[in-house]
Amino acid sequence: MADKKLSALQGLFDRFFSGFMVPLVRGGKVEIGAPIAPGVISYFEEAVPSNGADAAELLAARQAIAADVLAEAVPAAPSSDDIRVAAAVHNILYRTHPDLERLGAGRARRRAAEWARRFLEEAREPEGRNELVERHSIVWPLFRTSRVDTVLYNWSYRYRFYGREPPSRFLYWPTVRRIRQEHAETPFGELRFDEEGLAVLSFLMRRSALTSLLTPARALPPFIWDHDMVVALRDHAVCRAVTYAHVEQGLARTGGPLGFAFDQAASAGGLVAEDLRFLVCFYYNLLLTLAVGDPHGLAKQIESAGRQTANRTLFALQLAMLQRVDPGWAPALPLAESERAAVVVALAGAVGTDGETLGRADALVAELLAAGRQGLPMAAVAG
Amino acid sequence: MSYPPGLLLERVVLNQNRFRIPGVAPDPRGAVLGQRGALLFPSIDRVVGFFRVYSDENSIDDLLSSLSIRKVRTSLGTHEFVVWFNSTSSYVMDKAAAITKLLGGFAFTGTSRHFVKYRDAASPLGYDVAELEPEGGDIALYHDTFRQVYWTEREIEFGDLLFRLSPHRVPKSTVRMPETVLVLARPGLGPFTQGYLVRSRVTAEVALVERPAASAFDEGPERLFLFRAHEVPERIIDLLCATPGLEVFDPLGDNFGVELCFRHPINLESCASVFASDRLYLFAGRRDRVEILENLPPFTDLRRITRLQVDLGRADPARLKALPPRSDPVGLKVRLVTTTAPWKHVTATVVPIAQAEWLRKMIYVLPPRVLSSFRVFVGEERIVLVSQEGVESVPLGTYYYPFGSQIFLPAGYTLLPAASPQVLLDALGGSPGTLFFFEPGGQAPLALREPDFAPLARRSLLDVASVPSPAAARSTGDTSGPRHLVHDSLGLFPLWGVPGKKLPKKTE
Repeated sequence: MADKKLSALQGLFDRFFSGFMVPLVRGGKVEIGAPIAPGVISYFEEAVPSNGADAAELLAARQAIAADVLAEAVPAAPSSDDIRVAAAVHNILYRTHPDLERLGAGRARRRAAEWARRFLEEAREPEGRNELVERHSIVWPLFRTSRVDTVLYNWSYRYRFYGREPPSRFLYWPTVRRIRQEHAETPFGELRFDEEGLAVLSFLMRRSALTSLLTPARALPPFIWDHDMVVALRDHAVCRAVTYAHVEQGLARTGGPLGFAFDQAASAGGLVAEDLRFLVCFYYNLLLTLAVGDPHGLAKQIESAGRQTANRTLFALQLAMLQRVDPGWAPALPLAESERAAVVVALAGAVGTDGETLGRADALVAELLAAGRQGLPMAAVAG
Repeated sequence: MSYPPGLLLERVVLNQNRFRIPGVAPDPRGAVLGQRGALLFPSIDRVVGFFRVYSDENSIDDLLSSLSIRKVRTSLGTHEFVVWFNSTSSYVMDKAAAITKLLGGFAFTGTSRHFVKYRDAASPLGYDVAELEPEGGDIALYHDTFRQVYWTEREIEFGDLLFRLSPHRVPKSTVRMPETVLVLARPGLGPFTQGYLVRSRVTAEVALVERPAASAFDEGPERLFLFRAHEVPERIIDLLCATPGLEVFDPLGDNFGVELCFRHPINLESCASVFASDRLYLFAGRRDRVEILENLPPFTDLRRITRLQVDLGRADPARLKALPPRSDPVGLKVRLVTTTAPWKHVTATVVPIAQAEWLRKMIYVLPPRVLSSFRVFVGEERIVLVSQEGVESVPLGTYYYPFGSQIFLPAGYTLLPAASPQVLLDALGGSPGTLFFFEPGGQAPLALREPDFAPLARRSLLDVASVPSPAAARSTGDTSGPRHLVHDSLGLFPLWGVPGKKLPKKTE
């Protein structure tokens, strides 16, 4: 009897591992079955997949994702925390099942969210850059998923298979029955999440700080700063990787969310002063990297960031403040090439933690908080 | 109390003067009208569409004083757009409602917070609501199919909307050439444009304007030349348009213009009051940018500032020392006459342009060696093919054989008098690098410049365009295929049989 139960659990785990985890990370058809319940998770943590090739593929796919962020971090086999987070991701995706909105499915919806939250609470927060990247490799693919909806017509009826493939019996005799299919792909950002789902998704982001840092322009959940993200950023390698990712995505996409998030953190008091101070330094670092890469394009990028979100103020404000707080950091305009280089060199230490730099950042934060509501015209600040 | 959809609104009857919607009253025509109109659109492109259609026949200036565009959010978090304006009369509202309906939006009337559906064919006097939404939101809209409360998320200035829209290109054939054009020239091109306009006798004025630096990281203001030219010939406009660094604008109003061959989505004349009177707004289509020039200096007539270089010249020395050839008593006209002599080595063929299509088809079947030996000249009336190895492989046109190195005669003809090629060439005044073709029945030989001949293989490859294939950017980890979610069927009881949903009891 016990063997039969173990065999059923192993079958469940194999389906979860080979049908969900591997395609989620590597790409392919991500099969989502019934929600993973807390009663089986302890078995999942210890289980070994029956198909060894899948385990190797998962490892290779995770390493590919990791190598793109930090070459020096090499993920190992999934830990028990990774399994819990993957189960939470599974349950979050389960909640996007279109049929779950029908009457009588509310309990399943609530349970899936409850179990996902429980798995996330039990999963340990990642420590160090290696664990950050390992966690990122499990969570980040979530934003690359999409649901394919199929509408199938025959001579008399129309069938909707949202997120499902039509059974083969529906496709028999295509000519005689005049069968026609229409496919529509819904990316993850456009899937429907209710308030509860969004809360779990936000919690998932808090459990994978690196993913949150690398996807500021995501549609869901909105980008906000928290303490764990700042802690992750204090690692120089992570900070560099995040900065490069933001530069690559372009300020036009990331500028708006970054600006809003900073504004929110500064005004709502979500972060302690030390973290806020660090964020100012990080934003400078980002602006400087952009300036070094394309000095003439920086203004354009700031402008286009503003076009998207009407929140160009933060970045423009920082530039203006930079001049006002310490003219040594940004000499009088127009900047010559040599002067610009001098500014870059002077500011390169902004990410450091020496007292003098932080002192300057303190003054800057004070001014930002005093004057820095969005929508403030540049002239009023710089004036 | 909830109402079924059909009972959300009540039709207003004639002479009804009590309404549940606050702030509305019947207008002189009897239709229910509030102080403001609200148009609801699902997306910003519909909003643009509305202004686009509305501005074609109506003045947006009339609405501008009270116009407000708001991005609103429903309680479900979806976003829509509401356009507000003072509804001065039901005639204005009728026009706006018709356009809104065309674009898939809804029109409402009201005064402060509650707005009810504006009249339509089903209820010509308008609607009243059965019950008001008690609280929540900045605006409540009542339609016969829904009622919804909205929160304002942000307000979009009409000016911002106007300046962010990109002008689109229109076919040149439909463009009406304006009497006056504005030409914006980059600093290096200013003096040349100025000289060109003066030489072409175009009445024009010029001003030096400054484009302010957009950011701290710019190199400072850029100086540009702005020309205002009147009655410019079309060929000059074409040349100015085609010159990089010059932009030609059609001044639609006193202080705004759109690049020629471009059209702004919204009729700018209908919203002239958006443009500040002390600035000049130029909508550059190719660069997709709005140039806003401030502190415009007065225009100066070009002729007053152009430096003239007057060449008084010298008297031509007497040149006609010899008699002209016509009056020369021993002068002979060169004539082309037929000959019975067999064809020599024909190395050129002249193909009428009407047979170009045939030639094009032939080029496809020519072997590579032959194709590489041909050189071609494409004229307006004829195509000339030359090959040192012979042109017999192209059975088109009139064959020519070389008479000397630069003169070609048609096969079957010869020249009288039988002068040597060099003498003939001297008589023709031929310079090296010119080929002469005597055509049967032609008044004078054709003179073709050798540099105009191009290898046939190269000349015929017109449509081969390369597709740039940029190097791969830094991978974003998404090298694998798409991740498609596939759900299982949910079944009647979704949690039925899910293992582990009951936690095992703890055993001591």
